[in-house]
Amino acid sequence: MRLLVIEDDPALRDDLTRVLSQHGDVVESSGDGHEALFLGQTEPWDAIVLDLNLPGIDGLSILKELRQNEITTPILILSARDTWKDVVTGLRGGADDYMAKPFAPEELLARIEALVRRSSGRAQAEITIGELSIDPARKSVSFKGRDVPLTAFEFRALEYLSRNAGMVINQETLIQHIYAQDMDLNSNVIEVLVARIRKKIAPDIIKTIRGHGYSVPTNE
Amino acid sequence: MNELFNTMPRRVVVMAVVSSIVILGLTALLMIYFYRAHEIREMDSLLSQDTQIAVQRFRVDENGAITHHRTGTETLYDRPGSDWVWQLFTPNGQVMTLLDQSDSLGDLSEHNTALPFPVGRFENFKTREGLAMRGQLSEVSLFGTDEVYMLGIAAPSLHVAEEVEEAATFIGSTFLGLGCLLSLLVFTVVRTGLKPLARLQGELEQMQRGGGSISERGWPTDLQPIVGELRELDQRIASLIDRHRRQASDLAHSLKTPLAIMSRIVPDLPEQERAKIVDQTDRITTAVRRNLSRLRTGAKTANSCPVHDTVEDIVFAMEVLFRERDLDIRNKIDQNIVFRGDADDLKEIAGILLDNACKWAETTIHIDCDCVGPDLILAIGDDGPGMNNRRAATGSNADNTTRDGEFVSGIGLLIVEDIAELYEGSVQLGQSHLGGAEIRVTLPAGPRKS
Repeated sequence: MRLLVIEDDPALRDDLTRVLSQHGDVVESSGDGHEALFLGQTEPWDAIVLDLNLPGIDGLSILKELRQNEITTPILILSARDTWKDVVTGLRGGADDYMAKPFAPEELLARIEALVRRSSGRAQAEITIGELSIDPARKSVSFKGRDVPLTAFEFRALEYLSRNAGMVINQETLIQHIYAQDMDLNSNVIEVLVARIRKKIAPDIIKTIRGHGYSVPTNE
Repeated sequence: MNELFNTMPRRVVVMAVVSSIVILGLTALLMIYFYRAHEIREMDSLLSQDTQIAVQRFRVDENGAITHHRTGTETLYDRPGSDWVWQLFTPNGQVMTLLDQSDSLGDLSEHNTALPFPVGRFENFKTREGLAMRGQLSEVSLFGTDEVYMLGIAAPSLHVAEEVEEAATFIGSTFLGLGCLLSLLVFTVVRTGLKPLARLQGELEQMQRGGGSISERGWPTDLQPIVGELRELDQRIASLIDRHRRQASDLAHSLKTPLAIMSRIVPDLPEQERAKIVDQTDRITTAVRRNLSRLRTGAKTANSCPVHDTVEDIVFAMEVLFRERDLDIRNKIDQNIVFRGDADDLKEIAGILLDNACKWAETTIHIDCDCVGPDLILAIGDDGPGMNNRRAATGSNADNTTRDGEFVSGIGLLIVEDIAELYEGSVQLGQSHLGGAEIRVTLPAGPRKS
């Protein structure tokens, strides 16, 4: 998953980034309201973790701005403000979930996972396409009942394509969801990655759509 | 006595009424006094005229004999027992010899007692029988002689007293009526005149109860400086309280982020230290949450809010937060019931209780509200395992926990109790008709929406 963490406290921001990265997600963070709004509007995210007290623009304004611009990325508010008035205001503002600080990292991970799952229209935690089964929580993949060992990058690529099964994902988007740092778009790293996944699972597990990108076919 | 003067309008009314009554009373007394003086003058004038008439009727013949000529018309002086009298004397050295007297005193040969007339001027005197009279003894010249005679004339002073009493009764009744009318007028004038003060008092009382501030407009010019001062004072106090609350709130909130980081570090610590740190962070978290809750609910207000709509906000939040549970949350609260308190406090109560109910319910949550006398009873029940089973299931007071329960075990219901106590309400735990737990919170009800 590609996550954006918006938190003004550097220590907590770094800690959140570390926890989520260790979980296998691609995480970018921002401590400034203006920068966060720009990132939220211009880049594709699977979910956004948003603090309310931010320098520049406050979290609630960012939330409303994103929703007004029809950005439907799941947003979880993580705030020290924990009154039910704050919760209602946040949820009415367009947030999908609200967590008060201090929080348990396991609960945060579970909630982000649930948000992303719901946004991709799945009821179950596991992603199942035909005989392919992906468990995002355990970071495990099985095909025809057999566990398939994948590296972190291979897992991220397959998970993202599977979440968006049936859709064509271009190389740039795929890179953004796999790698935290900027990559040379002309490099053949994605091609290599896809080839390795096909080799480990099945040749037709990922289709190449020439000139457009990659797609995992749906099981229909 | 103090109660009589404990409000400004009452003080002004009492002072004005007492002053008016005193002035009216003095005026009435003066009027009676002048009327009496006038009556006495009238009587004296009448007696003077009667003296002249009586003198003109005396005749002295060439033998020096005095005769009293009567006109044939009977006067009060001619009626026996009328007590209107005259007596004619001749001065004989120091001795006064009674020569003639009015028929009212009887025949001179039988009744010849000289009355003790005051000499030279009209004055009151008493006869030997004790009858109060007014009259005088004056020198007179009789027609046909150069000798000096003395004529005493008098009439009962009871006549004046009766006239004065009658007048006093009339004046007294008239002034009593005037006094009542004036008192009523004073009361009305004072009440109308001091209306701005009563309004100021009302707004101050409302402000003390926490319901808004003193309005800026519509005050008389002379009250405007005081109102301005009061408004400024109120704003200064409010801003001071707000600043202190904000500082305390910021302090509590600023502790939350370090606590979140500490919680993250805990798993990396050696097992012995881990328990101690977890215990301490839990204590700090509980203290922060409880004190934040008290800060939020510290200012009792005179606001009111519709219960249904306020709880509906929380139901919306629950439907978002617990959407995966697909719970049936039934808000059966009557739209007209009003909570006499702050909407945020009601949201906090409903939020904590519904959050618990959503965690424990199987499929259904029932929310209802009844008005009992001046109170409303908000009841939130579910079809979960019930209060005892919740305790058994968790081995602690987890029935009180909020959504992030592991940090704030037991604090949720305490916050609900804190808020309810602020409004002199209470919290009762019981069993829902759905089979699970039900929590009933008693709070003050406001007037129903029409």
